[in-house]
Amino acid sequence: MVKECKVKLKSSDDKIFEVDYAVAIQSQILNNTLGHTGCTDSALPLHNVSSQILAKVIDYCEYHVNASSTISEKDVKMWDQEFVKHLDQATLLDLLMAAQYLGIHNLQELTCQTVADRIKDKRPEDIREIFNIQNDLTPEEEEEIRCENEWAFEEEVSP
Amino acid sequence: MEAPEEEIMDSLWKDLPKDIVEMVLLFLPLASAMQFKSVAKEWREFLGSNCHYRTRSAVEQRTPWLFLCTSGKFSCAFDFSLKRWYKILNPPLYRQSIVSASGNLVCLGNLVADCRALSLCDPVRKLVKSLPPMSRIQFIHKVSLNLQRDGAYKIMVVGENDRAVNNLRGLVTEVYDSKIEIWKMSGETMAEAKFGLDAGVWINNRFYCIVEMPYGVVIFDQKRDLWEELEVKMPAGCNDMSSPCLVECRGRLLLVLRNSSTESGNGKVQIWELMKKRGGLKEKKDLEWGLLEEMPENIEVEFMASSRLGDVSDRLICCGVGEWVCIMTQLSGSALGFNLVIKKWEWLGKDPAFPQGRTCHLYAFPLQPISHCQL
Repeated sequence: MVKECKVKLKSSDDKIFEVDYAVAIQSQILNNTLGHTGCTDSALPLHNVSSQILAKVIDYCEYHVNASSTISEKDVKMWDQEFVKHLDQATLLDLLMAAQYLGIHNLQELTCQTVADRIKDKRPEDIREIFNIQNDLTPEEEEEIRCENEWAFEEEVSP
Repeated sequence: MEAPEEEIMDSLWKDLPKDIVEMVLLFLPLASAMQFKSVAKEWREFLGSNCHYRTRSAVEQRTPWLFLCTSGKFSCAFDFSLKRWYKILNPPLYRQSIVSASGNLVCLGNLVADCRALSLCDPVRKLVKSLPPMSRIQFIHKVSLNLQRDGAYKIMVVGENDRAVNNLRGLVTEVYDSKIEIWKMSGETMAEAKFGLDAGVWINNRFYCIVEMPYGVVIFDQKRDLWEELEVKMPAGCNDMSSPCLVECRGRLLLVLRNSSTESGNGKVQIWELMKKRGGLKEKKDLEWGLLEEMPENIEVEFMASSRLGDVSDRLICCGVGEWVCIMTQLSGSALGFNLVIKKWEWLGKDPAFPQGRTCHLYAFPLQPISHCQL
C-alpha cells in the first residue's frame, strides 16, 4: 500500500523540504525511520546534509521514483549523466557523502562512478598530490609493482 | 567523462573519509586500480587485498573486457571505461591455447590436435590450474566454460572417442563439475554434427551454439543433460547467410550474421534477437528471430573496406560484453561495438595483436578480470 502522505526534511542549515513518501523512502535511513514513526508532521533532521545538497538529492530521488517502471533505461542513463556532468568537485563529493549517509544506493553508485571516472586517467604521482599522500614505497617496491602488473603500466601503442 | 576545468582543491580530497576513498577505488577500471598500487604502501595493500577484490566484483554494473584471444604470445583486452586495448600475456602452456572464457577465467586446450586434458587460468593474476583428463574424449569438437555466480564452474566438451579403438559413431558429451572435480559422461551421443566456429553462449545453464549444413542452433541443457535443436526458422536462407555468430547480452540471445538477401542487394551485417512471436500464444515454444539492428550505411562501408567478408577466407567474430555487441572479423583489425541500450555504433580501435601477433586461432569473449572465482 503506497502511503499518500508528505514527509518533511530539515537540512543542516534549518531549511525545510517537503517530499512525497515514495520519494523519501528511497533513502534506506528514512525508510527505516518512517517505518517506526510513520508519517508525522514534524520535520526529520538531517544534520549532515546542507540545503544545497539536499535539494539535489531530492531532484534525483523525485526523478527515480518512477524511473524503473515508466522511463526507458536509455533515458534514465542519459538523465543520470546530465545530472552529474556539470557538478563541481565540492558538490560532487558532498553529494557522494550525502548519498552514503542517507543510504541511497543508486545515487551512491552514480557519484562514486563519476568521481572514479575523474581520477582514472591520472598517474600515481598526480594521485599523491590530490590526496596529499606521501610516497613511502622504495624504488625496488615500485619496480616490483610494475613487474607484477606490467600490462596495466604499458603505454598504449598508437596504430 | 569531462570534468569541469578547475583547480583541484586540496582540502576537499585530503579530508575525505577513508571508507569513501575505498568505495571510490572500487569503481576504477582495473588498470587504474593496479597502477594506483604504486601511490603508497597503504594503497598497495588495500588494492591488492582479497577484500578489495571481493567487493570489486560486487559492483554489478561494471562492463567486462572484450577479450580477443589468439594463440600467439599475448591476447588483447579492450577496456570500455578507458577506451583502450591492453596486451595480456598468454599462459605459456605447451600445445594449449585459450578455447573458452567465463567470468575471470579462461579455459585452455587444443582444437586441432589430440587433447585429453584442459587447463584453467586467471590471466590477470597469472594462476594456472590443470584439470583431470576427460574420461573418453580425445579430440574436441566443442568446448565451453560456464562460471556460476557462486564461484563454481562447469565445463562442457563435445568430442570424439579414441578413434582407433571404438566403432561408436557419433560425438560424446562430457561435463566437468568443479564442486566434485569429476568429468561425467552425458547420457547422449550426438549424431555427427558439424559445429560452427562460433564459441557459443550460456544462458540460464543452457548452452547455445551454431551448427552448419544447414545452419541451425543446438542447445545443451545442462540440468536435464540433453541436446535439443532450436526449432525456430533461421532469419535468412542458407545461401544468403554467412558467418552466423551467437551472442549473449544481459540474458538476451542475439544472432549476428551477414545477410546478402537484403533489399539493397548488397550484403548487410545484421543483429537479430530471439523473441516471443508478436500476437502469438504465450507458449514457451512460440519464438522467432526478429531483426534488431542493421549496420548503418556509413559504418558498413568502412567495415567492409577494412575486412574481406565477401571472401570465404574471412569470418565474423562476435561476442556480447555487458550492453555491447562486439563485432570483428578474422582478417581486419578494427573492432566495432553496438550499444544495445543507447543504440549507438562505435569503433573500438585496432587491437595491438593485429596483424603480426594474430594467428588463425581467434576468439572473442567477455572477461571480467578479478571477479569472484579463486583458482
